[in-house]
Amino acid sequence: MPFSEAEIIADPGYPGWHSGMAVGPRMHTVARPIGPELKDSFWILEYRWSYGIRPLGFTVVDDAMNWGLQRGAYETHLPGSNGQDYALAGVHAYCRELPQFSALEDEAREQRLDACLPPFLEGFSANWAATTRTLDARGRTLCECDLSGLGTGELLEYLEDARLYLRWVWEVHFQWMYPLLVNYLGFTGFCEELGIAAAEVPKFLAGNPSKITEGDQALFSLAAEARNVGLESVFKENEAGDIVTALGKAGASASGFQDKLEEFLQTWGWRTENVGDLGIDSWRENPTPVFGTIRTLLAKDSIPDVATELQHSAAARDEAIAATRGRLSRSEQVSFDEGLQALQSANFIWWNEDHNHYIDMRSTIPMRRAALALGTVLGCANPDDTTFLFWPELIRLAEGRAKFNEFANLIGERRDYFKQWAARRGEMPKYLGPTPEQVTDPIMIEMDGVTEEFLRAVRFNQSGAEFLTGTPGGAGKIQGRAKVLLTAEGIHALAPGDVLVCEGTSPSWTPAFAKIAACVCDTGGSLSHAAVISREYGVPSVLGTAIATKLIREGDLVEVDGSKGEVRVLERAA
Amino acid sequence: MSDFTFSFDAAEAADPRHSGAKVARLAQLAASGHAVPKGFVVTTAAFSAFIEESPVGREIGEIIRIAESANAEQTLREAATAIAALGETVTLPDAIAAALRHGYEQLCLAERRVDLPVAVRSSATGEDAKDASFAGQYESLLGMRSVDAVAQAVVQCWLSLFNERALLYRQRAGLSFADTPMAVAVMTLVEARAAGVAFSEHPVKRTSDRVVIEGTFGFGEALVQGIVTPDHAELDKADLRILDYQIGEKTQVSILDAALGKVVERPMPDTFRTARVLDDEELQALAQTVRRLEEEAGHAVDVEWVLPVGRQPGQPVAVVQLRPITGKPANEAPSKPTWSPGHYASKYGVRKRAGRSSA
Repeated sequence: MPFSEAEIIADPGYPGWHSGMAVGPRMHTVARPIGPELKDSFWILEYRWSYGIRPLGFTVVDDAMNWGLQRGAYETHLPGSNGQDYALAGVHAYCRELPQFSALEDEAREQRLDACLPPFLEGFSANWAATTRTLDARGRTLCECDLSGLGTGELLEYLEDARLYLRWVWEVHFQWMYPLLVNYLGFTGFCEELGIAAAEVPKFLAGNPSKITEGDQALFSLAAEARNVGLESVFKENEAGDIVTALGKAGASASGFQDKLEEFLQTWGWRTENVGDLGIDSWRENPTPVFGTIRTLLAKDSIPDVATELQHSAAARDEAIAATRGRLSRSEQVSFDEGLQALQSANFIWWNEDHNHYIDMRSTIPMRRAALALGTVLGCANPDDTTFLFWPELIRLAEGRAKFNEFANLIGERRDYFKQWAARRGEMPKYLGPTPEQVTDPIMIEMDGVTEEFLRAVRFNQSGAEFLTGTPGGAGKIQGRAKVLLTAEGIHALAPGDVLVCEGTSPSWTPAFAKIAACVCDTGGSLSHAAVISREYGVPSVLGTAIATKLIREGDLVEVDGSKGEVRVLERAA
Repeated sequence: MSDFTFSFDAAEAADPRHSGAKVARLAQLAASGHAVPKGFVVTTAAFSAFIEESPVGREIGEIIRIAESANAEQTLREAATAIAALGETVTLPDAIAAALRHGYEQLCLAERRVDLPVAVRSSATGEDAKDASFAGQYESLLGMRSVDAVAQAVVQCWLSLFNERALLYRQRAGLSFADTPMAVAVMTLVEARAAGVAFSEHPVKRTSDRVVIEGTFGFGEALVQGIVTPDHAELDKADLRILDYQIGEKTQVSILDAALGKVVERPMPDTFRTARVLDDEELQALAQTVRRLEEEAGHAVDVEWVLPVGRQPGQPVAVVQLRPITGKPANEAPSKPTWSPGHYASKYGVRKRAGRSSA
């Protein structure tokens, strides 16, 4: 049985939670259990945190989302929106828009946006390069800092640095994302005025190597190396979690593979499988996800080559641009070229991949390291007990103003609470509160796919229906058996030819696209991760269907038309 | 020689007072070297003579004068019905009949064909030369191939000046039929492989960087009457690149029925319905012609064209009608999209919601 809205409102949240725990930096709102405000607005279940949020994770919800989005909207002078508001039902995050209602303020913002956007775009390349150097340097300093042997005082300082870093990278995230996004949308509208279909625009911006494609290439090379040195059977015959041991037995160090792996992890290992998850280690600390991906890659006849894929998308891009220009008159070409040049140099689609390496995949590693190290020196029963404390509690503990014993029972209760709610993820309502006709936040509309059509689908949610529509992602039409996944953990179990049905994807899902036949998501717009990756991999996809994971069941035979944005259930699983 | 007919070659034919606006423009085009069908004009003088000198003409004149002075819609409608009935009984005054015979025979000789099929088209006067809003009100007949058939067609064109729509239109415009005598063109019927219209600026968007061409198989009547969806093409006016070509569903075709001696509408054969009408060379030849016509006219133009059967690449396309594009004054140039990040971000990148909702 799904949770009822009344049940969610009535739930007081984690044991021991009270408003004094909500200390996060505040623009408009902070993370908290959803109360009666559930009834005021339309809330969407956040797919990125499908595994559930621990008490210390409230800092991530606050810094990354509430602070990041609200600050970003403010700094961008965004008319219409004050960003988004995140709150929790149990351990699951929901978000809603924070509209801006004053027409006077909108007008002032519009003027400021008009003045600030052009210099931002002109400086994009140089400034982003400089920003990534700082992002990388700060991140690496914290990630690589040796915490062994540090006392609580030093660890407390490190923890506070980790928090500042977390908050800062997400400030950067949305202070770049909002202006790049509205500029991209402006260009799309401009193209439509020139008679160019909006669906063409992402093609113009594809095919550029990013930090993500670079990392993929390194991983693919590592897989190829495993095959070359004859370790393929080790990967095929062992589960990902057993591969470290199996590699040792198979003499991987003698063949030089161990060195290659070490080299890979040094460069690319400071990333987590999920965005903003304090519950998991980085690849550097636990490379199981890397082995899982290598396993997946080795199951294929040939390992994809990123450079070749990029060449193909670059050729497709140039072809799309040439075809579009061919349909424009000379004078229209002059305007189009000017806009395209500006868009290519401040390329949102590229940035939207590239930044994940510096921000999304790394932001919580220092905080987890700090929490675990503190857990050890403070004598916690389990090192990750500290992740079951709220921020003010952890600070009190680290400052010596409280003893671990005072929290031992509470932590046990919170672990139970976490486990109960996390297990019922599939029963969480996808949407809460009244469904509006439209929302105003551009990230919510374009990235998460909360379009008017999406909202219509939510309003007329017909379980049992066998046809749904959404935003076209990757083009093409294909049939396959549905594999419904609620978290990225299941991706290594996907078989080639499966149709992936999920709430939404983030970079941790990327390896799946090398083998699936098609992808259908509840959320996501034409700019979402799933849309971009499915275009790069040539996988048909339909995003923002609102209800796919409710409507499609494991094993159903479905037809996905990624060109039209249509999904049909052809045959129900027995 | 009377002044009842003039060959298109004659200087008089280019004078709209003799020839009406349409023929005058065609004569001017012929004079400046465009491929215009050969022909002659039955002048406004012939029309006036018919009204003043023939019994039927005088009767028509009388009905109209009474109706126009009554200035009531009902009276005009009755007049239109009465004149249509009179049309059955018309015999042309001898002098006009002789001039017509002479004109047709000379045209046959010029084309070196005994039973030359011709198009007979009305060419009204008294309209502002740039006002085409009255286009299509008057009769046009195609495929006549004898003196008698031509004479009948000319009478039908004359009488179309008194059809109900025309009478009502002139009443509203405050014009008398005396101000708008009718000339009629008799011209070689260009056997059409394809025909259509073309515009030197976009007829809807009013942008001037493209030539817009619409065409269908056969004669252009079905297209002009709007009973087929033609193929639609757009070319860059600057370099004649083909920017767009949309194939239309052409369900009807206008063809010449030899037995009836006129152009009729038939269902389009299935093989042709969604076949492409115009190849690249034809499109560019048409666009080039339209561009030149606009340059010579000094304003945007709307052209009816025909691709003659047997036309070879490089040969001219036939222009059968030229009109200025009317409606919006030319000085209100449409705004062309010009890239500006702030402007477009505000226009498309954000969504505002003024006023707090009551919910």
